[in-house]
Amino acid sequence: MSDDPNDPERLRWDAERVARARAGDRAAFAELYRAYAPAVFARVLLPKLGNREAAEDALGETFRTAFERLDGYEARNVSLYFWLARIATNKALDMHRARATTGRALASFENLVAPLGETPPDPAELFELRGDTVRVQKAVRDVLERLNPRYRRAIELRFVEDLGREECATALDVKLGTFDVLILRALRAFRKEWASVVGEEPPSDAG
Amino acid sequence: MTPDDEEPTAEELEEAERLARALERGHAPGGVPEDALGAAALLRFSKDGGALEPERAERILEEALSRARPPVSKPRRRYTLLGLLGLAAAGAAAFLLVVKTQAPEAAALLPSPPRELLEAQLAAATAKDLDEQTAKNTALAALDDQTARYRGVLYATLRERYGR
Repeated sequence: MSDDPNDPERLRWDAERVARARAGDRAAFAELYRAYAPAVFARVLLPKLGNREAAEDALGETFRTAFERLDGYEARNVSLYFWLARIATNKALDMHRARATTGRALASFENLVAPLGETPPDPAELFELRGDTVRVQKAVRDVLERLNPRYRRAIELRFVEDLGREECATALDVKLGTFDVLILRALRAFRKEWASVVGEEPPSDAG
Repeated sequence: MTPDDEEPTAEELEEAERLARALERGHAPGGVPEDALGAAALLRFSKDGGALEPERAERILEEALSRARPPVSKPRRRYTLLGLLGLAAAGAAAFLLVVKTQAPEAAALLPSPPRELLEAQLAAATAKDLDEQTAKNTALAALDDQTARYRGVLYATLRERYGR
């Protein structure tokens, strides 16, 4: 099956599973989930929420809602993916609205990655997530190269090597509080440099 | 002196602490510097492009389906259209019934003028060209008489139909 979301073969594949899932076949729905959940997660939810735990919760909610409302879905010659992406966008918005109550730390970065890809992305690349990752990784490397070495090191320790705060502070030979300030400044410097190297789109409603 | 050598302000210290908490726990009840948090989220995303671990993905699906209600059956579009057409037909029928019951009674069938009246009218019309006054008077008197008769028949018909 082609990666093009509107490829006739994919549409037939969608339609067959949607019909079975409507009749209560959960295995058919699971097939749809396995086909589309990775793209909904990586392309919609994570960039809108910036928080993996929240994005996973939103993914579950997206597919729960989709299952319950599957009977109202009409294909209109486009893949089920776009219907799921719309539900996911609404779930992300709901989470942003509930932030004051839940206290969840959410931060959209979709406006940062948007300049790296076409908008909307080339249909044939929609499910090819590897290409996105490679582009983002290259841009991150380019931006890190432009930071002062101390900021770059702090970011690499915390986000590339994935060390805890204490370990990072020890590695840099600073107090924990000093490291916290250092990483805040480093992230702000990174963002500023990203905007000048890659670009940054105006924040969307979900940010 | 690099920028990170500058002494942090009290506000910056507070922001740094909130950011540290948010990055570790994913929660920040008092708010969080979103610009830095967004950059951190992007850096984390860049490691694996937001890949979902298959096992974790399966657990999310199981939990979602365990909470899901059975799919809600909505009437399909063609049934909706049929329903709307049915409603429209019922509305039209009701309208016709109301219009019919409120319509005025059928008009009375009035008698046609008798042949005598038409002949009297013809005689009176031709008599006006005559020189003789008596002939004119006779024709007009005959017309009056026929008109009065016809009027009487007409009024009788109307009284019979409308009762007044």
